[in-house]
Amino acid sequence: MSKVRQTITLDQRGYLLTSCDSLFPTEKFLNKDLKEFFPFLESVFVDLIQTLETGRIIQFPKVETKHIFLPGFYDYSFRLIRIRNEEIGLQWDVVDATNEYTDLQTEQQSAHEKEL
Amino acid sequence: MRLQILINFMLSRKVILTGSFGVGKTSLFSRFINNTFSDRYITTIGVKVDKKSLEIDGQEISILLWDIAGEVTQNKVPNSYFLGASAIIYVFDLTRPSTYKNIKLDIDYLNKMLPNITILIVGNKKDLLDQEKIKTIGEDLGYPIDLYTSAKTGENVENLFETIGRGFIE
Ligand SMILES: Nc1nc2c(ncn2[C@@H]2O[C@H](COP(=O)(O)OP(=O)(O)OP(=O)(O)O)[C@@H](O)[C@H]2O)c(=O)[nH]1
Ligand SMILES: [Mg+2]
Repeated sequence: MSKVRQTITLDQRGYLLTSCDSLFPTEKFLNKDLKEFFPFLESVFVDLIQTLETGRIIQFPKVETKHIFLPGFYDYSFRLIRIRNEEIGLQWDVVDATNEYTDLQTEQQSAHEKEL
Repeated sequence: MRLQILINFMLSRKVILTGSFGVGKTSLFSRFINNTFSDRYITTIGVKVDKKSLEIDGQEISILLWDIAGEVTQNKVPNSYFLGASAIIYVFDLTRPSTYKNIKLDIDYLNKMLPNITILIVGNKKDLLDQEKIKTIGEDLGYPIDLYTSAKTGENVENLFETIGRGFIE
């Protein structure tokens, strides 16, 4: 089964530009600073914009969110993109891997409990 | 005359909780963020991020805290997780020697990957041992421990984050 992916684009201030909304609706975030809603994004955004090389993708596997509209485990990835007027922006892909990681969590839990 | 506008923006810093599994990283996270504690163990499989602001000497600081999955050795943690981190809290469990036997290796690894980063070494679950025993562990470790905490009672948890926050404004 293929996993559901949501692709989001942001300008270099972290404002939402576009989203395909496959996983969660974003109309309430439109033209707002997404960093204010996602502490994850706030904590890496400046470094991504400043240090990510064009063409490179950085992945953050197994992100657990605190949002009620996004419960579960997700793989995040980021890449730099060009937006209007040659301006740099960021593409943020969110892939739902909740099923896979829930199984992994069960396995890991029993392995750790044996050792505790 | 030149007008100077001072913008008082909030300082925000990424801080990571790391160490072996079951040492109490998630418990320290919940104690700091929500002031809660649970005896029930639910293992973390990747990362969870939340934030809280602190006021230190009149300066507001926002701590963006990363609670990551416990790994027996730090080279198992995805490199990307360390991006943009300003400080690392390396947690071990005072009651389980297996959680501090790799301490030197781990700290050397982190120092090499993230030169110039602040690393605090924290012995957690101090409520389970008496003072004498804790002192012996500290001495035997041959490695400086920054703080002894209890996520359960809350002892030294605020102190831990204040110490980190203070480091950011100095
Ligand atoms: N007595 C006592 N128990 C604690 C303390 N901190 C955590 N625990 C317990 O230790 C167990 C593991 O705690 P967690 O916070 O889940 O440990 P963790 O480091 O996040 O573990 P992983 O996510 O698997 O890496 C839980 O049952 C907690 O209730 C403490 O300070 N004192
Ligand atoms: Mg945990």
